[in-house]
Amino acid sequence: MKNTLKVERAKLNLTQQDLADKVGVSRQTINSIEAERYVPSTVLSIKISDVFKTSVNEIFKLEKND
Amino acid sequence: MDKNTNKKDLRLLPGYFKVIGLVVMILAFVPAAIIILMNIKILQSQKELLKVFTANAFILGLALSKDKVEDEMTIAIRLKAMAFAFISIVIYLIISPFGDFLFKIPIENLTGRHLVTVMLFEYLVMYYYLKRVR
Repeated sequence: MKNTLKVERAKLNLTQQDLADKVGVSRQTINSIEAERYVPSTVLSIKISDVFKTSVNEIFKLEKND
Repeated sequence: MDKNTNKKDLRLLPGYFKVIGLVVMILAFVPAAIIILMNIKILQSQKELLKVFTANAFILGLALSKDKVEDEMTIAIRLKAMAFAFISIVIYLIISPFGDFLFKIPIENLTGRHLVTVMLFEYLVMYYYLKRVR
């Protein structure tokens, strides 16, 4: 699964730690999501999209093999 | 937002249980060392009790207590590590009888306590490894 988390974060000038604090996870979790090593749960995806005031589909996109 | 809001999946002990486990282990090491050094004879049951406290208390405390930040990813890592520990022990139990049959290696009779200690240790190694490479 692809995501545009890094871009969205840059738009709001947020650090990984800032975003982690806002959604209640560790900085390493945000880093793993950005590096596409970890696919977040639905709850976390919605929390992240809430921070960026956009829909989940705008941030997370399925790839062909998903 | 609280970092510990989404941990309904695993009910772990509070973080200070790591310290309690360490203290219990150290307290058990002192009489164990005295018994070995002074060559004091004790009952087999007392020996077993000392083994449990010295070997398992710290590992158990470390394995079952919360980290500073527990989120859905650490829960996923814990479950992966638990699965690894369980599967590796099952594989060992299936394969070990063949050791004697094929290579003439004598099989040692492992007790349940030994297996649990190995499982806990494997779980811990895998958990900290996966946390490091996440």
